[in-house]
Amino acid sequence: MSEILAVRNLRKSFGPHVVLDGIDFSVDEGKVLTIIGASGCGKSTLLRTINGLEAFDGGEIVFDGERLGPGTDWRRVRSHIGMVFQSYDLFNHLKVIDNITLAPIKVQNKRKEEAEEIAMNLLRRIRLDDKRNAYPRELSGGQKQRVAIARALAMQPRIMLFDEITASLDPEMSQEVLEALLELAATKMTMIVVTHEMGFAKAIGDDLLFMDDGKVVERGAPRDFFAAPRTQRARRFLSRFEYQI
Amino acid sequence: MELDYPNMIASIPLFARAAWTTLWIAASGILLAGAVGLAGAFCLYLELPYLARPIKAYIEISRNTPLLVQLFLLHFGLKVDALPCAVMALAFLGGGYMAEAFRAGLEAVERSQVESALSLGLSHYETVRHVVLPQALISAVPAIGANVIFLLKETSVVSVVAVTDIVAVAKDLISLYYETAEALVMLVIAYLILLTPVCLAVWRLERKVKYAVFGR
Repeated sequence: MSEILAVRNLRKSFGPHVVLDGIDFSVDEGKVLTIIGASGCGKSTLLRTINGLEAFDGGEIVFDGERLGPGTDWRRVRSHIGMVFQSYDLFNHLKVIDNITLAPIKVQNKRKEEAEEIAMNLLRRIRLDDKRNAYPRELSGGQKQRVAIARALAMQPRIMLFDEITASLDPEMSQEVLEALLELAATKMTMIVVTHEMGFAKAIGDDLLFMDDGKVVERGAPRDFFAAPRTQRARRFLSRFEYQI
Repeated sequence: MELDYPNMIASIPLFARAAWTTLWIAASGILLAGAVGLAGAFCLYLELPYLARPIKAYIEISRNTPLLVQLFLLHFGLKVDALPCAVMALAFLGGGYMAEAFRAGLEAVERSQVESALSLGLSHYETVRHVVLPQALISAVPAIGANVIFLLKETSVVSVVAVTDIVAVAKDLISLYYETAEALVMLVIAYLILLTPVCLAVWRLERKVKYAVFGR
């Protein structure tokens, strides 16, 4: 498997506050990388620098052999990097189907029929094809988030970034979204998943990063990490979740 | 009350002709106001340097001076002809109100909508065109509708600069026949005929776009 994304010594500060303090990792094609860590440890900022929503101060990001930075044609790069946010952000004025076909039509210049065919296939996969003409406000949180995933997938990205996509859903709705993610992982989609769901992090990832204070504190196979965290910080972090088990 | 009905009926053609003038002034003034307002709101939304301050000043000046005074200044002060003066003054007043309506609409679109559009690969222009603007306009529909009705009613003062609108017709009839009640009743009816369809249209539009997309 070849490396599709490499992040080397990535640095980023908001004023005096260091958010990313020399991050290193890489992701191979077809693999799932999970990132966990306390709120404010820099996980979301890390994802946002990868698709250019946030500029970085130092280090480098190499995506598919191309160094990303100030001169990057983000329009092209972003069409290869799918991203899903915590707040779904479906376009409220567009029906489900039009939410999904907007970018393929405008960015990839696909014909409407072709884009709709792709969209319907995706909707069938997440079992929401009966909602094609619904407006976002008519959907539940879990349904919205699944449509947001389909919308990102419609661009046929090389990699998908998920930023705490179940954080504002109740457990039942989280479940349906996480199942959609597991199905996606089974299709060998390359993914980076930032999550607070520890059970899920254990189940889905090939590889796991534990971040704290802008640094990667531990990296390894999820099974090993949860069974025997090597650092004090990781142990302290995991102990907060124990009451859930 | 006994009214001179035959004379009232006889005045209908006069009112009808003048109603076109009122409508014409209102339509062109409101369209211009909409254009001015949208442009102003966009400059504020994009935080264009150097322009924000003058635009904010314009919004305050236009909204905090009476239309009557604006008309006087344009016509008697700057010697603008009566009809263009009426349209310009209405556009000047309305532009400030429209800018505020559009600005509120633009601000109602969450920042995260922009980010999710950009992350799909849409350009900044496409994001504004296909994601921000449609939602902003839908949010702004009630405020814009209220402005349209307000501006249409504001045209009632343009007769002070010798524009023959329906108010001018009523005034002429009063000085001609001394039938004050008759002329004013006709004037009220004329405004109701002009405004009721506009009100209904605004109300229907609001229901159709706003509730369909954002719910109650």
